[in-house]
Amino acid sequence: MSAPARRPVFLELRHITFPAGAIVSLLHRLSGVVLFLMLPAAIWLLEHSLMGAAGFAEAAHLLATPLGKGAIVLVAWALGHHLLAGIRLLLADVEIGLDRRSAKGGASAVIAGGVVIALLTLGVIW
Amino acid sequence: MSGTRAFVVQRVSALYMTLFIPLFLLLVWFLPPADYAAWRHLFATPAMALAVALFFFVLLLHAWVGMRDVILDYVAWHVGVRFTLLALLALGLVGEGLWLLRALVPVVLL
Repeated sequence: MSAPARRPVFLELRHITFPAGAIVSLLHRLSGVVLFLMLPAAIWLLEHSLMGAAGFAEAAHLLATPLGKGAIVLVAWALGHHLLAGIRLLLADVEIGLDRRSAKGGASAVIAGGVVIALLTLGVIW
Repeated sequence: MSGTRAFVVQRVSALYMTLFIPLFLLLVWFLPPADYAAWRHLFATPAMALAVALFFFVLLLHAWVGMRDVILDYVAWHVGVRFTLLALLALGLVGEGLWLLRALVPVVLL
């Protein structure tokens, strides 16, 4: 059996785009998984920070290392994006922002908002 | 937990965390605990202890619903693997809950 010789093919890369809403959705899931994976580290830090003055100093020191600061910025992005994307979903639940224009605008705002929160965090801790 | 119940849990927990996280960050930003004693005291006050306990409780429920969805979506090819991952997830989240209790309860009681 041979494939039809002239089936329609549409692979013009300049015309195929991933819509902003799909990117928000994908990143919502990805950021959620990131937050889940960072949870043990967060609990460890909280536990040690509450154990005693030495543990508190150790937790503060770890967060001040380059790795710690990188983790803070990553979590800030993940949390910011996840929170904003979640608010967008909650608004959609009560039927706000469902028309095409606000849905697209809201999606772009969520993506930008997550990045802005990450950059602000970077600015504050560096 | 599935269907409508998971849907409701995910949204109610999201609402609580959407309030708690910014308020907590604002509190720490404007009234930064100066040292260990102040930091510990923050978690020892009854209102805060309750709010923090509730936060982690709904956080773990939220993580269960979300990660469960991820596993169900991507591990559709093998029932055994899917079940094992879900069991590990449940075990891990319960473990994290117990870990948090061990970290937070002494702060309130001692």
